[in-house]
Amino acid sequence: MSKLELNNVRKQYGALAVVDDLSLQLRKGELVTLLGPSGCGKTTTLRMIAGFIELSGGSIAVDGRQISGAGRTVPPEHRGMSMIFQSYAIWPNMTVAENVAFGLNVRRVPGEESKRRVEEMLDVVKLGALAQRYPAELSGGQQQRVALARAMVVRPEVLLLDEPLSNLDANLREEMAGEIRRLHDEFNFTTVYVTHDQTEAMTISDRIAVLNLGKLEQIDTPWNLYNRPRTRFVAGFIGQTNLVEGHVRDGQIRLRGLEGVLPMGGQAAAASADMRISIRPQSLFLGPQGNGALPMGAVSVVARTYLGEYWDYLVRPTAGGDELKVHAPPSSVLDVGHESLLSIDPAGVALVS
Amino acid sequence: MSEAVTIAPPMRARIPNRMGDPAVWLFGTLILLLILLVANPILRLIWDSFHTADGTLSFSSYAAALGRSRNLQALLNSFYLGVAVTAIAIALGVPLALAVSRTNMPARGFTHVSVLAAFVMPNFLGAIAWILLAGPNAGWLNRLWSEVLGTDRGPFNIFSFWGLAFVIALYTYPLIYVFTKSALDLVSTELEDAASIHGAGKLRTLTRVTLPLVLPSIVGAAILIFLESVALYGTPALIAIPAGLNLATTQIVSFFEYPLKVEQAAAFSMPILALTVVMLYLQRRLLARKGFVSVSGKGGERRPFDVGAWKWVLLGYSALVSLLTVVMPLIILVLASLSKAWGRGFSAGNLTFANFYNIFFEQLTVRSALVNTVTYSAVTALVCVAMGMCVAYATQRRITPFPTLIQFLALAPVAVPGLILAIGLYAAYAGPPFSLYGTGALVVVAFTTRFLPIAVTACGAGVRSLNPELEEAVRILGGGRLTALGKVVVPLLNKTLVGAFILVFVICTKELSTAVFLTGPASRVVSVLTLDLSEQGNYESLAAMGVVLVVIVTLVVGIGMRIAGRDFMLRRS
Amino acid sequence: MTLTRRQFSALAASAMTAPWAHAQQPQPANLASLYEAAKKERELTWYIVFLPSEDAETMARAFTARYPGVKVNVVRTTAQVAFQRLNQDLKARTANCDVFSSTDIGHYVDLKARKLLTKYTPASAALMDSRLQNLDADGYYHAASAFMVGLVYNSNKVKAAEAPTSWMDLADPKWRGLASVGHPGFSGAVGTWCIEMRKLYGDGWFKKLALNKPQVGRSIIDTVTTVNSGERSISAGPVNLAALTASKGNPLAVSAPKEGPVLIVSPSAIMANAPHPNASKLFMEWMLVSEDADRITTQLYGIPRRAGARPLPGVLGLGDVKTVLQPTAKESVDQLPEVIDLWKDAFGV
Repeated sequence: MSKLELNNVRKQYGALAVVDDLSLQLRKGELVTLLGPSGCGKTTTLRMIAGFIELSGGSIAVDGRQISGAGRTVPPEHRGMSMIFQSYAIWPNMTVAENVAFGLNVRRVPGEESKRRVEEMLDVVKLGALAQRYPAELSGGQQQRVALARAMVVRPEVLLLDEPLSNLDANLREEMAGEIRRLHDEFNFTTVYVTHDQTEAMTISDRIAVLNLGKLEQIDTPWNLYNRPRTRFVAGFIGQTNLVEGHVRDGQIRLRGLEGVLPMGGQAAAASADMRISIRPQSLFLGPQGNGALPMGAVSVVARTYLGEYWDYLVRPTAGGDELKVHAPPSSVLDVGHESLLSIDPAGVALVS
Repeated sequence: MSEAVTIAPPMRARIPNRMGDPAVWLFGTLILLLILLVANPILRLIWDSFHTADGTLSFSSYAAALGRSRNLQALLNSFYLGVAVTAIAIALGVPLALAVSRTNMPARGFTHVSVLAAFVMPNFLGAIAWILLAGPNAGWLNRLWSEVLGTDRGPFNIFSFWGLAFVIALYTYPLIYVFTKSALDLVSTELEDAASIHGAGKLRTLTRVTLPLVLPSIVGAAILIFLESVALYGTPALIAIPAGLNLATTQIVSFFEYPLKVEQAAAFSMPILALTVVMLYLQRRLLARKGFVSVSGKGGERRPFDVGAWKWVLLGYSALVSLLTVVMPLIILVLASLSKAWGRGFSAGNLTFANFYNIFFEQLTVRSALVNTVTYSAVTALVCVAMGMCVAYATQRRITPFPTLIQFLALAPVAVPGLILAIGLYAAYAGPPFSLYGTGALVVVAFTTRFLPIAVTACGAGVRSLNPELEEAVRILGGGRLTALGKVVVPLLNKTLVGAFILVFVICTKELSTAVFLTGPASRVVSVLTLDLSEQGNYESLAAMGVVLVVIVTLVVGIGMRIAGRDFMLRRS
Repeated sequence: MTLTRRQFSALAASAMTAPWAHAQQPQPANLASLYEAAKKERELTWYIVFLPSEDAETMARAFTARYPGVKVNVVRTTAQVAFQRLNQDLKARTANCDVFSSTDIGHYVDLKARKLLTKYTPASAALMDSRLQNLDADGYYHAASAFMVGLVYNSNKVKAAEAPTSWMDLADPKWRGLASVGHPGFSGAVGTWCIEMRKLYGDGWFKKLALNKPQVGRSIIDTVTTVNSGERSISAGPVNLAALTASKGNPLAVSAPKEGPVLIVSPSAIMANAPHPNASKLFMEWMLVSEDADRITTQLYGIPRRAGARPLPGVLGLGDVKTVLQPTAKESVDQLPEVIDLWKDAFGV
């Protein structure tokens, strides 16, 4: 039995369905991220799980017991969950220790035990020395940790995180993402994490659920999402990719303007059809053949941008066809108009619907 | 420290249904209270106006009340008075608001304090002071004038239509100031810079560019002042009767002479009530138009606008206003309170502390009135803040059903002039089955009903300023709504609450119209006692009582400013 | 006739030290038991009109000094306001007032007819001046105070030779804008005075008075204040208060009008629903003719009620003036509303 189950959950505001027919099952101890652009319904879903928003249809259950559904919504205070808010929501009128102890006090944990657990948790998040400080004296990252400690010390059924890292600067974000994963591994709470940042999602998740316009596009492990995107949206959203029309026949993929063929490699498709192909820019190579990439044909450079860590070349087959983005190492300097051989590594190719 | 995740059992135990939630009970009681406080008196008032004294349904009360030309003249006089007061108040408040908010006039802080002082000063006390100053023959100003200039008598006559309008305007202009200044504070200096670049002179810029931007706010405040002047009782009783002016409020009071004609009073009040509702609706529409100025909090950069030599003119004007509203009246009150016989003038032989001794130790009515005033004002402020906080929280966070309706109920008393509300409350609660007449409880009920809107608005602004996630964090951790309210919302809003408490307290001390029918011998307050004492011409004791009241209120306001910041009273809610 | 300040004080001093004509009578036995019962009730509430609140409080304190343990709550207002509040009390069925002392006899006629008064004749009533006794034949209310309304003027502004001598002077153009009167809609004394003026000069008098632009206060006490301050020069005001104020060094003087001063007799009564009946009875006994009450009254330049007692020199006593204007009880009741209406029509308010 899954720990947290969403069945055909729908939320409608007027005629607009913000969340449409969403179904998810989380195993106990799993960390699943809801990933998507703004407006995709991920925060609404999270708040429905928390109980702040009522469902328009469908149901949510924890351990098989329904907590949200037609007619009845258990209020947040009775769900036994914890949440970390985008603004951290640390209460400024209480010290760090008082903040963290709050949930324990509500559960009437005896004073001694409460103190002990708070201290332990503060050590875990490395805030032990700041227990008596007030939130106004803390940095963003430290406040973040207080929120984490507060949420975890009560051992929630489900831990919910609402874009917790969006207010931090880039370096801190990476560090905190790692922290969150580490803490998850230590305590193993069933966790639902919401973000629009795919790097975050990839770093910390067991599985990622990609949402778009209220619908679930694909739920899969990070590797599968990147390398085996099943929908156009997922392919375009996760990482960068080239989406081109190609023709599939006899287990081989042909691209317009290029003579070479790519093997289909076990991906299901109709016998002969035109399909959309996703090719990762890192899987395209310009210049002499090598690295296990298959040669495809002659292309010329249409435009180029240097981004520090790699060159971003836009190339087009000399015989005409779709433009393709290529990521090349910094040492590979090519002028616009330069003609070159294009090779593709089939591992970065996927058929999308 | 890995551990198996153990779920705390209590969270999985029986989940109480909606009826078991204490928050629902609390807020349900609140709604009931609101209905009792607000809906009942107003409905009762309307009901009474359509009935005669023995309970039969008829229009005769309307006929009797509005049929006599003298009564209609009273309504008309009040209307003229409202217009006159509004005009004077605008002339006083707008230039000062402009000067303090936009220009580089020196001593802006002083001006701000002077406006605050005018707000704190009760209207009726100001009236007394001005009677002492500008009585046509004995007023000190007139005497000074005729001595210095050798004329027979001075030119000032407080017992006239314009004298009355002048005195009322002096103590209501702070409202215009607050509204205008709030709006001006949001206008970016860039607009004025643009005008300057195009060659507009300083004065022209202010009047042709800046002022029109805040016109809706000014008009909004003007409407409020108009309504307040029409509904005022204290100053008219003191000045209008000797002046031979019949006003709506003095007319209403005369309906309470023997034999009691409550129904006629109710009928007479209906046109005023209707007028108030219509004008408030207009005002709301006006102020909702945000097209002129972006009222989203940050208005862009604001620099003081250099007005050159005009700043001295403005400063002089500010000093003059301060003189008229605060300095001269306070001086004369203090002098009168220290005199044996104020008519004798200021001389060494006329000084005494006996009046103060008198009111504290001998004239028990004055002492008990002071105690009553402070007590009722404090209790009212407490109840208003508590109820206001609950109403604001319940409606902003949509805890109860029909939040808009509840908010409307809580704010409705604004539309009912104090005197008329008093009639409604009298009709509803003075007699059986409540029989509250003559008790302090009735006064507290009346004041609470009247001033709850202030508390609700202030608390509402406070609640809106809070990030809802702070309360959600409480709930997700297991605390209910009441826990969120008590542990997080109230502590975070303590400055707002203190500010609201003191604001309501001060306004209660000044309140006369609502109290005039509802106080019995044991529950008299300073404002009503002022009227009673003034009938006897006992200005010395009156002045002493007034000075003590002003001292008490100033102390409380001072404490408030320490706790809640300098501007807590003059912020527009 | 007028007296200078020095004459006032000199004569006042001598009068104060003169021994009383009658020896003080010992407390009768039933008074002692009344006192015991009153002590149990501990206090009473007194709606008082005919004294300024300072003086009313002085009376109250003197009573408590004489009868320790019984407090008097003084509620001082003008007559109409007192009556209005009394009626509000009655309509709300709350009993606040114990003893009602107003200046408008019409109120008492009305209250008696509505059976709202207690029938009680204090034993001390027998000691009163005969002219003041039997105000009400049935003993529901008794005369608690008598004072004259005469012409009061400011001695700084008006020389004795030019002083007003007739009620008609108030409407004389010579005194336009310089006179001061009360308002019959508020003050019972002014109401009574208006009734007499109407009897003298007819309905048109009010319009004539209004044309002369007097300052209209609410209470008759106002008239003394305005003349005292110099705000106005002459007024129709209470003679006793004028004399008292003058004795403090203020520039006031009194003139008896040739038509005669108006005598205001202020009744007092105990309410039928008085919450403290015994204390009230004790208070009535004391207030009407006790030594204390008379002494205070005399000090305040009033007319003491005890038979044979003399007011201070210079104050017109009951026997001192040939004509005294006084309406009958019936006239008071019938004519007061008419007079108020005439006034409001003439003055507009």
